[in-house]
Amino acid sequence: MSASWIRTIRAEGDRCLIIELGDSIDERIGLRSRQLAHEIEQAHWLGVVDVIATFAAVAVYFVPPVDSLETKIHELAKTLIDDTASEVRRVTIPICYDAQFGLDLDNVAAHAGLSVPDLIEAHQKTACRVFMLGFSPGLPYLGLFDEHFDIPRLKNPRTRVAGGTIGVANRQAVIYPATLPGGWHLVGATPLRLFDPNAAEPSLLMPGDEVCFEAITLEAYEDLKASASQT
Amino acid sequence: MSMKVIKPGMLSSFQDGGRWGYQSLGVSVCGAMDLLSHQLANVIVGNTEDRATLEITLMGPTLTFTASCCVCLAGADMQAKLNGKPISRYRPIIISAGDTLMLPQAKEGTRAYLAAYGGFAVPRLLDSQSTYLRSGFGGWHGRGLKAGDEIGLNVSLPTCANDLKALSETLWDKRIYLPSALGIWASRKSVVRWVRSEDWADLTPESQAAMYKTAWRVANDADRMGFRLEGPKLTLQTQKERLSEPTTFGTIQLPVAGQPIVLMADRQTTGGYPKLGCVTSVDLPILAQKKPGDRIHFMAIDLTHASALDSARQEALKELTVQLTSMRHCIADAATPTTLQED
Repeated sequence: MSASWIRTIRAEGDRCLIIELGDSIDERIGLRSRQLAHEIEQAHWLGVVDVIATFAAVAVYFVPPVDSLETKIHELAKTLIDDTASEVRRVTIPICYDAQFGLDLDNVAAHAGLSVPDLIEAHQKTACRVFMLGFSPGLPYLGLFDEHFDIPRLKNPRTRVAGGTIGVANRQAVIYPATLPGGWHLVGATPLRLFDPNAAEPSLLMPGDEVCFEAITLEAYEDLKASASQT
Repeated sequence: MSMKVIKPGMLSSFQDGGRWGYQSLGVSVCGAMDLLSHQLANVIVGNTEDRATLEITLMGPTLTFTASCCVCLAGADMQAKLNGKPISRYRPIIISAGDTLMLPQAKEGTRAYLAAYGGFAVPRLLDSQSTYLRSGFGGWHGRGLKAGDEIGLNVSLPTCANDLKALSETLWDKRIYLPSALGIWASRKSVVRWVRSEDWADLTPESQAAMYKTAWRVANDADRMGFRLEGPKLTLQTQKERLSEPTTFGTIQLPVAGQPIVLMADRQTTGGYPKLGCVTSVDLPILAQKKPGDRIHFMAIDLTHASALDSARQEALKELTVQLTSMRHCIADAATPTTLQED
């Protein structure tokens, strides 16, 4: 039996508990957070209405009456071991690095000390994980990329970033599912639809998915975009 | 068998108890800002399940009905009039086909809730009928009501005028006792109880004192996402950045500018700002009934106390549902479902 994964459980008001597993963006902590969230969800405890995992924490939302939730969470966590066996879903995201989408490619490349083509190659090399979805429906936080992508967010966020655009910062990437304000450095765009509330699976990506980016030409981007909008 | 929108009002959107279970996809919970008034409107009108009510903001709509039905208004006093005559809140009201319901303007409070017996025919999307205004889905076409909209009613009442009059009189004679634990006069209150969280300790002593002393002004941009509060600038002893983590209804964030923001129904699922605490569930309706320019005071209570108040209120709601059983039966006996494929 290993030491508990849980650092602390604190109340976020009277209807939410936040379980802290760490304080940094770390793949193992991320994995544990998602695993713990999944187990709590599967336990179907009385009063629990939602469970989410973020980078290093899990939140349990409830409506009274509930029965000693905190104790149950501690007990459940004691039984968990790092999941190395489960099948991971792999998703390839086509990305067009054309200059009309990759508005910040030059800056990111300069910051990394790479040429733009080398940066584009580095971006596709990493098989990253969906740490969580947040900010807007279907928006994935992907990581971790290598140090070439360790660039702080924009000082002055853009008020409008088009849906499908991919941004990088702090060794992570996001894909904007809809037109949104955004402070990430834009490197390209995908023709795929990230979120459709009417679909059986509303979100293209799920927490824990392994994601690879694959470069496509502008022509392929437009073809895919046209066929995606027909469905 | 529907409710027609003649004038839409400032912002009228369908909301229920919230779209729970999809925050892990980044989907905001949404739902009624004043959950208590939403629940009361449903319970009093005779709905035992959570059905979407129309959340009406400040300047209300004018509505006409093409079928007879039973409705209830709760929350803000919109000076509601049925065919020109004032009607009561927190009472079941019988509406006849052809009637016009006007909800001119909030005299007290900010948000009113209109429930219909059997519910409005609003589709359920991702397990909820709530309108997600920012992402444009859910509720009534993902938006607030517009003039000309015609929303179906799941259940209608008899068309015979005498039957309706008799039902109305029977209902009027029934007493509705609303226990104080329900705190229905939220719009008259301005002290908001909250529970502190860990970043509170990092506030400078001056800022801690200011948190209590200040009559915080609800900023002009206060909306369904959050209420920014204007007052003295609050400062942390050490400015630290939090890893983006979950937030909830009532979370009090402190962005760098030093003006606290209370997260409301349409909040984003995660946030990285320091958190001073969280407004208690029982007092969120007080805040939800405030409008820009209104002032509030904060009063900290401990978590055990907050949870006890919350449980007591949930219990009181259950008791009210039991208390209204015979009234519910009166309405149910008169009602006919208009559709078999009710959600």
